[in-house]
Amino acid sequence: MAFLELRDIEKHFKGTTALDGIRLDIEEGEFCVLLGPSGCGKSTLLNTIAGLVPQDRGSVVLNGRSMDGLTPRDRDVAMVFQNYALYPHMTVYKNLAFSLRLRKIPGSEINRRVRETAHLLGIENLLDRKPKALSGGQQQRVAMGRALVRRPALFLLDEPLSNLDARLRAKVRMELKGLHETVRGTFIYVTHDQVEAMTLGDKVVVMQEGRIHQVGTPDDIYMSPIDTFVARFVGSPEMNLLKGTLRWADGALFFEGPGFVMDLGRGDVGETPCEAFLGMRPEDVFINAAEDPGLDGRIERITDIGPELHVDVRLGEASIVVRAPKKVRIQPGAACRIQANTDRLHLFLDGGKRMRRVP
Amino acid sequence: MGEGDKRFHDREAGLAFRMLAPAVFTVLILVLFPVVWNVWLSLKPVALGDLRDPDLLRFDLTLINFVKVLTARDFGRVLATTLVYTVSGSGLSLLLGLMAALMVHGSFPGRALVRGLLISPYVAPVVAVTFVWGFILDPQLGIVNWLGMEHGWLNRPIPFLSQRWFESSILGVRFSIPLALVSVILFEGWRYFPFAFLFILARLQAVPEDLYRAAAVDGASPLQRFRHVTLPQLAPVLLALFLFRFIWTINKFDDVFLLTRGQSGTEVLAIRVYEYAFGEFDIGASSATAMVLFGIVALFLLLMFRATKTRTPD
Amino acid sequence: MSREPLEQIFLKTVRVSGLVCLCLVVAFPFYWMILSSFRPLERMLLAPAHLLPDLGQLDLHAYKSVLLEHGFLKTLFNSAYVSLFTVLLTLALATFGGYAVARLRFRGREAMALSVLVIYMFPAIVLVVPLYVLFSLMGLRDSLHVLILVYLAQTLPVSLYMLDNYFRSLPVEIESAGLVDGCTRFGVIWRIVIPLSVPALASVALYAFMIAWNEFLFAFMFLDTPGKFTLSRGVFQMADSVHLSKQLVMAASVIITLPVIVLFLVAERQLVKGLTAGALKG
Repeated sequence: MAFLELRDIEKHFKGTTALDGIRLDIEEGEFCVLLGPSGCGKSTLLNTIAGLVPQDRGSVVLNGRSMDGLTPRDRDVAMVFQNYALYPHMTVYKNLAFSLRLRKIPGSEINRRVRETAHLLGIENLLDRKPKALSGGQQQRVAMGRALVRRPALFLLDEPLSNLDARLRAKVRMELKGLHETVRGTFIYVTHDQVEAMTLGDKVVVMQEGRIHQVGTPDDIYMSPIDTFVARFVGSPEMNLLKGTLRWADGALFFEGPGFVMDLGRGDVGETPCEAFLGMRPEDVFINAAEDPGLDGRIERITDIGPELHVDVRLGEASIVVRAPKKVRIQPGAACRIQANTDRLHLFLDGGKRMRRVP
Repeated sequence: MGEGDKRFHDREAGLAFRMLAPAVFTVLILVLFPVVWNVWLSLKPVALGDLRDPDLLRFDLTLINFVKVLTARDFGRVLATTLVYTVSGSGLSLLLGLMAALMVHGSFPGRALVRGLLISPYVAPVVAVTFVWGFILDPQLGIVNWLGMEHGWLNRPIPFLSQRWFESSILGVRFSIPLALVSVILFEGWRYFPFAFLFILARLQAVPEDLYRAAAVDGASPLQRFRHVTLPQLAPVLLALFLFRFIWTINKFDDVFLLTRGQSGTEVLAIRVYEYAFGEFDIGASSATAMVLFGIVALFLLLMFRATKTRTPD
Repeated sequence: MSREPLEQIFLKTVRVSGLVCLCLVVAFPFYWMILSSFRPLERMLLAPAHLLPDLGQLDLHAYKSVLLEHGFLKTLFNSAYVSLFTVLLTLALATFGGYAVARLRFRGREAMALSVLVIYMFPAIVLVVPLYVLFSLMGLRDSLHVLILVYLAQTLPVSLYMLDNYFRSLPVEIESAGLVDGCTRFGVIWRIVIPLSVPALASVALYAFMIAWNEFLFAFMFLDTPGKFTLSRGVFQMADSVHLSKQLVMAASVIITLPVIVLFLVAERQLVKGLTAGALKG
């Protein structure tokens, strides 16, 4: 039995379905990231776990206890809100102490825990200030502190970094990871930022339109996306997806894309010929000189992003993005040859689901 | 499965009920119930002495009260007086409020104090202001008449609040003003302009500066800017204010009663309600008159609603 | 463009002079009221137009007389009592009621918000006779407590509307944070919403006070015993007695007017914000 079990959770709002049959297990001490575009239901799911929004169907079981009908108060869950939601009329100390005071914990114990948490987050010198006298980053820490001081069974974090500027975000992200290791709590973290998901999560749950597409480690998600949505959502620049036909000929598998044919080597995909999507990550495609082996291509545009180049290449009738090291000598408009790492290619059925290729 | 959320909803609804119940209950008993009872009483021939009578609850409804009220000899006059009073009073308070708002808009030293001063007629107790006004306009002791006599503008003192007609002539044309009524209307304007003033001022301050700048660039003078930018922005507020003031003025009893007791041509329907109930002890007629008032308000609201509905494609 | 500067000057003059005139017209009755309370009748008749006070000859006996001989001390107390409880009860009922309409989900919620304003349309004059009859039958008419109840019915609709509006403007997340931290709904209201709503609550309190303190019609209709009179009823009584010196009635008028005016001058900013907030959205 997992630490947190979500079964068949459904939630409908007027005219839309926010959650459509969510089923998920989360282990104790895990850092689980719910990843998806806005409107996919991840925040709704978080609110359901917290007990702020009741689900229409389905159950939430935490540590063997059913959360059915329990108010947030009784669930032993703490939440960090996107806008921090600090109590404006209370000092930082009071903000942190609030939940403890409600549980009638003695003042000396409260003092100890608050100071300990403040020390952990580096905000001891802010205890007497009010939220409006704090910077965004400081407010974010207080919001974290408010959750940490309670030592709850579950930490829920709703896009806690999205209101920070980019530089601060990267820094706090690393601190969050450290915090998780120190505190060793169970974190459920909601974000639309795939970099956060990939760097923070032990387990990533990719969601869209109220449904879970894939659950796995960051590596699983990245290397073996279960469908075209996940394949495109994770990875920057986006994975190149080309529609075409798979055909078996001369003892090898071929992909007939728009204006080109790629030899995929050996491998069995079941019934052929069939319609499929070919997925190539920009880093798994290589640009060779026009004389070298590969498919015919033409350089369309070169973008220098600093550490490397992003190159738009015309392959047949399609345009793909390739990540190339800076030392490659190419010109826009020049002809070239394209080669792909066939071990790292992805194939998806016409409906979007991953195809298994048996070598 | 899903049982929990039903409990959640029920609990929230139950809580909401308990939170709202006292307020709703109070209003129900003290507002809705009297209104319903008023309807009931208007349809039964009831005198003040009859109130202990078990007959009160018998279902023998009749329109006799309405007949009495509507066919009373001076009903037409009272109705006319009411409408004149209401429309003029509301209009005057709106006009004064608009002028005040336009003058106060924009910053100047002591603005907060001026604004505070200008809302005092609305905020002060009605008994006090009506008494002072009565005193100021008094023929023997009032400052207005005294100054008029002293400086030769008047030959004899004018009892502003107790004389029905004032006759005069300008350039040979004779005319008569309903003096007491006009005095009461002026009082209405003075007392209620702060209400319009506050709302119009707030709306004025919400008009985006850019509109004025655009108009200035287009070549509009201040007066033109007022006509083409300010006024259209204010139109909805003015309409809403007129609506509210109309309803409140037509129902006003205190002011007229305290100034003139409804004498000298200032008898409005609200006074009639009081007169029937406590002058003639005819509760039925009193309630019927209140219903007539209510009917006028409903009619007015309907007309307003129709008028604004045709303009909604904004 | 020689038109514009001329117009500007013209408008500016109109504005300043208009404002001065308006302020004079507004202030004069109050000034006269205060002045007349310090002037015995004889001097009034001699030279009514002495617009300025003779500071050496201010006569305070009217106030002493009104308060002590005419029982206005008790009357003052009655008004304060009625007003205080009207304010407290209005705050209590409208806060919870307003919160329920603003935040909680229940059937008929939308209807409630609208009907509140509709109720406000019902005029006092339609209510007064049935309520007079009702309370007379119950033998409760001549009572300050019944008066408080009646005033509540007048203050609640608008207060509910104002607080409903205000509560909706508070960020929901702060309340969610409270719930997750361990508050009950009541706790959220008491510890979080109320401290954050002080301006709106102050507006409601002022508004309720104004209604209760100034109210005439019901005080006039319901109260019979002079010992139970509120200031409105008391001043009316004095004004109605022909033989009573005007100076005394003026003093009584000042007593009833001063607290309200002072309160409003102090809190004027607050009330304006509260009254007009949300009411101007289209």
